Amino acid sequence: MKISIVVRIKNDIPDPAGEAIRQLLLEAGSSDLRSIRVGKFVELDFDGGDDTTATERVKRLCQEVLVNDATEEYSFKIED
Amino acid sequence: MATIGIVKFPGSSGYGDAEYAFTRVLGHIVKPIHYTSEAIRDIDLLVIPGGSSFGDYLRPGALSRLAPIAPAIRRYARDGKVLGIGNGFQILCELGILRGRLMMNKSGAFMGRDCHVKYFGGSKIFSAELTPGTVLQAPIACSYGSYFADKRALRELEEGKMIAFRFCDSEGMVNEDSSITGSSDSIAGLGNADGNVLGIIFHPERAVDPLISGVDGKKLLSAIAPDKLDL
Repeated sequence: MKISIVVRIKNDIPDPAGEAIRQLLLEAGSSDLRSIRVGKFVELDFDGGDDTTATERVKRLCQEVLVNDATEEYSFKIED
Repeated sequence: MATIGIVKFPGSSGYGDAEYAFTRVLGHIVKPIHYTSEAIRDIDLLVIPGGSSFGDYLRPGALSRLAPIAPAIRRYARDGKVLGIGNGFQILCELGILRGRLMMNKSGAFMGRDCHVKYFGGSKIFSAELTPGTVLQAPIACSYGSYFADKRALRELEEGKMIAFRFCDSEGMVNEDSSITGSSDSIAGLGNADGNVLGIIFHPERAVDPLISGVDGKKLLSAIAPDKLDL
């Protein structure tokens, strides 16, 4: 069972990496680019399991280590 | 003479600097503590050194949550004296021993340079030799040195006298410009509520020799008196 997780810096927290990329793209001609937020993509692949179990495991893994909830938020999708 | 336990994670490249400062410069005994250890005992001070534990993967310090030693660090930090330096500060935050977390510098880049920090008191790991208002010069070397906590947490940290060090200029003035990493409230060092744990983003252990980076770090580290403190 494959699960993809997207981890984002919360919207009200500055993202220097995103801002640095935005500045470069502005200089490269993307003058209408208002903002860029950079996050992480994490893909998990479990042996078997059902959607309910997988959902609980992903939430636990995110709370335990994959996400720092002081500054980050996450969403996930069960692929198959 | 005290016994200093220094934790060695994979990637703790600052271990040697900390060991040198505490043994050769300050005359203490150092006991290496491997990250697979499940108990911490017979030491006077626990140091989590700088570097890039576990390659800084995911977030700096994050993977230390999964290390076998993590529960032992949490237990030791209940009443033992703990100093986290650089990556050690990040680890203390990721373990939830200190509040908030360290984020990417506002410049978006690695910073390796000297900085000035001002001591604001509140930490119980220092003797009276380190007086509030003392300004020190020491290096920083990090990409993730920007301390973040939300407004409510910052207020509670301030009220609880947990903000031990702030970035400042050479005269000791603290303002927005002096926060070279972009830290909230210019925070460069933070303690816990009981004052027995301290995390600092700068590196006093790399400022113990007049030939390199001065000796202000020696002043700070020699004010740590783990064998004399009564917490």
